[in-house]
Amino acid sequence: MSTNTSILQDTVTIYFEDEPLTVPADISVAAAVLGPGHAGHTGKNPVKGDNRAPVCLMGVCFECMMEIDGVPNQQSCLVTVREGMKVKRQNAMREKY
Amino acid sequence: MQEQYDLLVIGAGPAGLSAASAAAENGLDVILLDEQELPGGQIYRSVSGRNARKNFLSKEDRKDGMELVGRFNKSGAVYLPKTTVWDAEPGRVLCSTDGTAREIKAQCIVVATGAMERPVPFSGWTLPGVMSAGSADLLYKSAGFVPHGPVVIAGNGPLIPLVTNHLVELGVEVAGVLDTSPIQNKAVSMLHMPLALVDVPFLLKGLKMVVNMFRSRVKQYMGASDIKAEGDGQLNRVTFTHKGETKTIKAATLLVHEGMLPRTHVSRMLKLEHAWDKTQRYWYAKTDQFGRSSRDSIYVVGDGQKVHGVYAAAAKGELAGIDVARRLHVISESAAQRQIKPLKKRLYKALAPRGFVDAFFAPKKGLFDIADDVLVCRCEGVTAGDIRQAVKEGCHDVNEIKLRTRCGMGPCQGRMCGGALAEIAASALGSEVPNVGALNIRPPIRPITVRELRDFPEAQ
Ligand SMILES: Cc1cc2nc3c(=O)[nH]c(=O)nc-3n(C[C@H](O)[C@H](O)[C@H](O)COP(=O)(O)OP(=O)(O)OC[C@H]3O[C@@H](n4cnc5c(N)ncnc54)[C@H](O)[C@@H]3O)c2cc1C
Ligand code: FES
Repeated sequence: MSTNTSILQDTVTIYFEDEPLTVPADISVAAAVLGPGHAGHTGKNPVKGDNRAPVCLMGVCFECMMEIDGVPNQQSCLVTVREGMKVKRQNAMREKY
Repeated sequence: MQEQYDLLVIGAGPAGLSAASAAAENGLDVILLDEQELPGGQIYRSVSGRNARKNFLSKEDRKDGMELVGRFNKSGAVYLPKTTVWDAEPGRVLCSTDGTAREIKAQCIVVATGAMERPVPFSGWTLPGVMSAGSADLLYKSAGFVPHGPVVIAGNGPLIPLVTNHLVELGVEVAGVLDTSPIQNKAVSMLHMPLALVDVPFLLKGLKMVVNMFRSRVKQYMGASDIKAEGDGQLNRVTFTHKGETKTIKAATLLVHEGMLPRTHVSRMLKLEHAWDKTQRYWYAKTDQFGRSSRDSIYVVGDGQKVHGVYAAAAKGELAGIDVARRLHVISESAAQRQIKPLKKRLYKALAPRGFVDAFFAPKKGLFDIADDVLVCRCEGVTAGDIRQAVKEGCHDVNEIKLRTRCGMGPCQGRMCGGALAEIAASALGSEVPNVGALNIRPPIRPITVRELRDFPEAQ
């Protein structure tokens, strides 16, 4: 993703994988990490371990799940960025059962 | 926390906003919930946000969206944003806002959860960089970002010309459009043309989109098939067959779109009667003209009932809102009739072109004839071959196949694979989708935390 180049007023700073990232206020975490964050992927599939990234940006696919402020399994396309928010890729594999 | 309303509406798109506004204007206590921060639904996503003026490419859409939101804001109905409904039954819903669960009681419920794009599995569709076409539209409207180029757009459906034109307008490198639509659609859809002529401006608008797409000189590959996304942990190229030749295009983003279908998790959870649409190949909740479902006090309206587009969605929502006011006796029958009459006219006009549009964009035959090694259930890693194997072993109902293979058991709860699972199973049995059933949808319809469950242990 790339950012629209117009001046970004009203920004907040979040921490994506511990790196500060300044993004427009009001946008979703998924948009922030795909856009200014150039994240590529937002996590790994817990069964196969392959890279995954948001597909729908509307709460349907559940591929955007990230760890936000320490809470895992957050659909990042449904969470709005907030100042100081800590966002991490979700890479945990599921225990075999 | 417990609350009581006359009407609870799920979904703040054109349908839900109209239902809530009409009911509140007629004197009901109304609450409207949506998992998004701002009202507007998909077409008007973030329309009242501070960047909408810049991010809405269609000024007409922005104006229409602002009108709907403005009317709602004045109506007296309560808006509860960032709130996902994960359990519902007649009289009450359970929902969560920022990880805190609550119960809301209401005499009537209007389900207006909208449409989603039809997920169709293909080789490499789980690679980062592969997204639904509509997501590009949502990303721009809500955040002002465009996908990384080069972009390839593939499929068959109304969002293909829309998104292609938008990306070209925004200066994104579109490396190709792979058109998978069956040629016979064009002929069959013409049978519906006479009725569609009721709304000539609508047809002209669609025609203009298609003409603009051709004018943009983006390379189009008609009748493309066997699309594959390739790359190592990230999309790098798209290969496909065109006129008997295998072709490869370098791409950072692949946007796929195979039409739209109603989001039925809430209506399924409510155990409403559903029916199968043969042309568009999707399940929808059965309703009457006011959106009344098979269960008393529950309504389903908008694209979440049948994908009829924004104007029909708004009209149906409004009809439901008025009907609730009538049944709860805050307005008289004659007052209701006065409001209903012009709406029926609006709805007739909005529905007139749908036969044509549905046939024009009908999913092609064999859309789900996918190779055995392709992942169908993205969450649990179940392939088309696994599903066919389960059928061979005697599972003839999608719920049996689910138990055997785990297809549909992941966090998305079958939203991404449920349709494909049924199509693949039906075809393996030489049968039709209605004969293999639909996945049972039980609450909670989205993963919830221990804390949310603890507050409502009976939801388990
Ligand atoms: C990605 C996408 C882009 C589209 N873009 C266009 C466009 O540009 N032009 C056009 O004419 N049509 C577009 N459409 C078609 C469009 O869906 C409709 O015509 C119109 O938005 C339908 O209105 P609606 O109110 O029925 O549903 P929607 O507008 O889809 O609104 C449904 C709302 O319900 C909410 N919701 C769903 N489930 C829950 C739940 N469990 N809890 C809480 N809230 C929930 C959603 O967040 C959403 O806001 C698009 C569709 C999609 C899927
Ligand atoms: S991107 Fe699909 S659920 Fe978030």
